[in-house]
Amino acid sequence: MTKNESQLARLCAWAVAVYFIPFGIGWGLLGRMIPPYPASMPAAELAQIYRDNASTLRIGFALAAFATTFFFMWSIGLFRIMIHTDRGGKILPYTVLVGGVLTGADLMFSIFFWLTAAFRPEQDPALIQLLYDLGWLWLDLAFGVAMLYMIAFGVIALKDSRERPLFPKWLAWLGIWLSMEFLLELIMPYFRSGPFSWAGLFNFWVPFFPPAIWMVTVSVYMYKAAGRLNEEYESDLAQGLEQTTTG
Amino acid sequence: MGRVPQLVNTTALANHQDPQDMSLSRDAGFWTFIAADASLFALLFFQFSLDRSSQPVVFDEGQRVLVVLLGTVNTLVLVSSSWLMASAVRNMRRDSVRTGLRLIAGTAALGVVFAAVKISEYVLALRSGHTVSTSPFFMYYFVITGIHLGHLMIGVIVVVVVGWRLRVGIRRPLDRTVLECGAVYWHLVDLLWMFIFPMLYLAR
Repeated sequence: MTKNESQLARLCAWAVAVYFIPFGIGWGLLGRMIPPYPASMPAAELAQIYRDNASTLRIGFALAAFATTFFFMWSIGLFRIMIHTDRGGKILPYTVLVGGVLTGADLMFSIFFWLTAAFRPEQDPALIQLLYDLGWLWLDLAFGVAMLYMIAFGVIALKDSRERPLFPKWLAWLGIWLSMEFLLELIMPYFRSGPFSWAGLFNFWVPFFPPAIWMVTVSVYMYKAAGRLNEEYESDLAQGLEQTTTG
Repeated sequence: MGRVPQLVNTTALANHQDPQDMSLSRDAGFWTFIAADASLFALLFFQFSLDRSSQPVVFDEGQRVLVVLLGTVNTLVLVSSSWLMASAVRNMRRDSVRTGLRLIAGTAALGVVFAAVKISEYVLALRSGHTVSTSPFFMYYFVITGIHLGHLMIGVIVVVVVGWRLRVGIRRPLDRTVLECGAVYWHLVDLLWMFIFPMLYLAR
């Protein structure tokens, strides 16, 4: 990894913070999504909340939708580091790229449903409820794209045969496990309340917060890996070796 | 319980540099997976107990529908499969591949028996009108045993693939790693059932 790419990759690692802070404020606090309103809430009650808080909801969702831009940036940085970690591998690093970018897109598009609900909150409560449902079903049931990048990342990190691996094996296994845990979302559409509904322990708190912490941890190692990959490149150059890992 | 005692001193061996010693059960990394998985089940059990204590009558009514005998049969099946798995690993380490392979086949077969019994139980429950959304008890019953069954099926696939590779003569260090890691996983699935069975079928 050249000096220039290494610096850019470090910038992409930092993008995780630029993503999480406005997203947490916009989606979580202003958008009132931590915790979300239960699916069992009557339409009239939900519509009233959207009417009473329309302006904070709009700025919150707009900010959160913009924040997802940095998720894309993060995914591109992770992809380049994965290509070098995998010493020029193709399928797995590209799976990280596609899965990461689509995960960002999943987050971004789901926000537009809630933003649309807050845009004309005076309309029929059934429509507010419909948009609210659509946002949650979209966000939760598109988990497969996140599985793609988390598992591909895990396999690349486990395959890494460097004496000191760029990413710890436990982080790889944890990512694989977290991505498998998303499968619990498959039963989410059966419940409007309780621990398996979209506001419950197993389909909100568990699949959202541990993976977020995992992502931040991956970013810390991404930052370190960018430096080490540049050292590898420099020492290869010094030995006159041809670079094979430029992807 | 297989190689659990070897969990001690794993960190020193975590970054296995000797390809002959690439045993995942000594890899701290794989234990993260096991620990995370066990924690999820612990959370499920906790949430179940919490909800059960708030409406004991509903849970007791649901429990009466389950056939304890079938649950008991499956407990015996799973304990035996775990024993076969442990013996398979022991034989593989001693390089008695033929016996090892037979034991692996036995493990997978018992896994399939467990799944068949479990599916017949699902059919019985569904036929008598109980689904995932009819009562909180059946919600937990289908979800917890469903996740457990999913785990078991993954275990069967891993064991069959490794067994098949060993049978056709592929014996890379990675295969041993996957076998040992599969064994640890199998024991976890067995251990989880030891909690699930009394919790769902017996405790009143």
